[in-house]
Amino acid sequence: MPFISEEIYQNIRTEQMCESIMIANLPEQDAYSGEVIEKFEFAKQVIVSIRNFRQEKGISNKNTIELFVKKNNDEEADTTFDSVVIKLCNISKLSYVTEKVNNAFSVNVKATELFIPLNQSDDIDIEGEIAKLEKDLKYQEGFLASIEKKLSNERFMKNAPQNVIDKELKKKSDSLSVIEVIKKQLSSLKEQ
Amino acid sequence: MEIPKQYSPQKTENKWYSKWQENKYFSSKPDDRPPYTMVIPPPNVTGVLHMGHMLNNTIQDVLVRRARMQSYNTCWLPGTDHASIATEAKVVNLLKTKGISKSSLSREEFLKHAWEWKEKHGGIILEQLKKLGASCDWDRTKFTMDDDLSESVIKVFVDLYNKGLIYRGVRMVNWDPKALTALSDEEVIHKELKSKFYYLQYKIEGSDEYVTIATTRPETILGDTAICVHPDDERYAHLKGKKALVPLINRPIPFIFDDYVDIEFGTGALKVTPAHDINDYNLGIKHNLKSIDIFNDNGTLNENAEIFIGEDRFVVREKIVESLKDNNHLVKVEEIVNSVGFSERTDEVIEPKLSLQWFLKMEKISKPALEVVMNDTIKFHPPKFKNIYRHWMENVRDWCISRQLWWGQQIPAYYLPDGNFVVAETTEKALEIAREKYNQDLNIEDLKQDEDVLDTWFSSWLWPISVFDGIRNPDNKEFKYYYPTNDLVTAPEILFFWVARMIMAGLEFNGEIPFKNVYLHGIVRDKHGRKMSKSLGNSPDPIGLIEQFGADGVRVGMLLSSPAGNDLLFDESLCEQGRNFCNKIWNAFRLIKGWEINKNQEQSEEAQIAYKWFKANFNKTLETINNHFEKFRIADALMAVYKLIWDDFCSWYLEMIKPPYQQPID
Repeated sequence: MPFISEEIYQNIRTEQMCESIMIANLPEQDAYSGEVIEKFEFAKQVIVSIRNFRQEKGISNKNTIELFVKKNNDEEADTTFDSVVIKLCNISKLSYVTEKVNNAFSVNVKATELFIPLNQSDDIDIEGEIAKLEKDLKYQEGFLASIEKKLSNERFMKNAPQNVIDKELKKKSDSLSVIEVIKKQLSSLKEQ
Repeated sequence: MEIPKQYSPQKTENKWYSKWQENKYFSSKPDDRPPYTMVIPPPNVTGVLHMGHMLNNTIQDVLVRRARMQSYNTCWLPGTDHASIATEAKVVNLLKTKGISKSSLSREEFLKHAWEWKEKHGGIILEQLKKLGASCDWDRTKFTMDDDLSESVIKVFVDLYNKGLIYRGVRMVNWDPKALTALSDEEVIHKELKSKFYYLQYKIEGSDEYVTIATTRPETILGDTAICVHPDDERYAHLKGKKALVPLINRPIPFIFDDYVDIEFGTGALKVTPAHDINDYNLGIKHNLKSIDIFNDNGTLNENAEIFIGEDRFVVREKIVESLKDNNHLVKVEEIVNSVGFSERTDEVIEPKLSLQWFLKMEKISKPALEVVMNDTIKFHPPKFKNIYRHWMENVRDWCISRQLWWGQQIPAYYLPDGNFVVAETTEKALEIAREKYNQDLNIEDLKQDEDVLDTWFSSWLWPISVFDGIRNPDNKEFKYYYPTNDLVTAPEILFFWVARMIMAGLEFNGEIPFKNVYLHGIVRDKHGRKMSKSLGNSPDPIGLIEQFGADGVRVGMLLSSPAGNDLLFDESLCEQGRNFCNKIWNAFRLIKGWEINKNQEQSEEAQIAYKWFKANFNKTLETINNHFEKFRIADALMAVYKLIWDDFCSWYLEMIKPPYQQPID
């Protein structure tokens, strides 16, 4: 896209820069940390989930919400992107909890539970929440079944490289912990 | 400075392209830097830009620009091809509309018209390439009939002739009765057609017996000179020494016996027409048969046919079937599917025809050219084309290089009054050689140069060498610096016409490969997968697209769905997507430019981490892009950039660092 590139380049060009992008050098690739990219992938999912939640509940992004994060299965909390989550989701307060938060909507991202406390005016649609969780559960169970099927396939186990098998095993344990979280949430909802 | 709300390609593109040219950013002179050289596949000089050119030149421009921005001394050499058969046909038609026929003109007069036409229309396609943004070194623009390039062609012809690789001979050639010229095998397109298979009976001379043969071309019986049967075929053993009579004209023809005939096929008896079928021609040589050519050059019948003289071959086919029927020679008619050859240029049915032509022996020069591809000295991308290349190179036949046209390099063979000839670069040299060789008292006027010109590919096969004057002056600085070139970008359709022959020429004349990589892109088809053509009306005007979507938008559109070697299904919505991408970039730029900067303000925590993340992501994407480019996966490289800008930069990064409304940014 040489034309728009030059147009913008000339708009931001300073004295020290090459006189035209036509003859400028391409950026050299630097070493980078894959970790920060991976960590943000999770933060992205959190942000997307909260945005979806807002949309579902009709809560405008202009109104702040509070957010409680409960890590499960002894997972360590990663706070690198908390400030970004706070900004992009317009969160008034983000805190980590070890127990379930009552009177709150909950959203799952992998095995992490996000709790968003209700305003007085909000009413939890317990039936709706149960239905949603059951749908999630069904999906997760189907997913798990497909992985188990793969793992019980002798030919696959014999021929697949170890790192591929490890990936499948990791998927299986992740899926199991997600299922556990959903089941707990379901039973607590049903008690109410 | 006020930044316009909308990005306007129309206002931007011409402005920058002239700036680039004024500042000679694309021109190249040899220096200490390593070179990156690419030669354009020269489009036909009379051509206008079509979608195939758009794809081809977008890819080349991407590779060239990348090399330039990697500090190579980059030279992308543009030019045009004289395309002898296509151009001559155009000029002939143009003259026809003015009431002038080619045959009423002398060679010089016709060439004057042709050059005029070339000067008038020759530059169009190159101007169109500038609209696309092609970063060619325009000061180096070449034409395959420039004096220096033509001289190189003649030099090569003489050289190959002196090496014994070029010979003149009567051969069966592919004759195009419309263009009135011989074609090389590669210029013939074979199509499967539904045809009729006529069973005809020939009376045995001096007997009441008949023998039945079958043919798809009953008009050619008038040129029959034998009937051939298998020596083991008992049905016909008693016919030895007998003659059959060609129906309607009653010419007696002998029976010959050859195991070339398939006993099971048809009736087991075969009519032999040496002048009009390549297999019959070979049988004719073996059995010393007469060869009766019944066609004029334009496909009408001549006196040799005895009947239907002056009528067109296809008209005669209908008429002769009627006559055969009326005279009880037609036994039956079957429907069959057979393969018929058509001229690539004129779509005329090819007539195999005996004619005196010039040929280049291919066996010796094709071997090393096969080897350098098979051992990856020259790499094909994608490599699947290696097999196709091998198949062709192992079955290559001698190349018919003469064309019965005027537009092109005239063959440097000079005939003496006694029919002898000499081959030399100039008339003067020819005279010298002729005097010496034949010990005759000759004058310039006694020598008559061959009327024919050389096949266009016989000039373009030298293109990467001759544009740097490497044939005439192989030690010149430019040639030594720029050659061998780096990458060649072309369509698989001309893999043999052009790519293979350039490799042969490179190895034969300089002992070096002409390029290191060959990137073969697919054909641009419409969204339903049909080939684009004028008659289908499914071929968009590239310049119209550029006006509508901007050159950048169209370039993105061309590359979005064009993996190497696969056909591209083109849809205007791809260009629209390209334009939208431009707009996205522009809007991001405007947004950032709209922010007020406060240098004293501290960077927020989220901006710090955002920057760290985007930098990592940017470098990761660079790694991906570099990797794609190394493997010539240009569409994939574009997708990586697209995602980086659209998703990571616009949707995430800008959101993260965006200052609160009406507040400054650090």
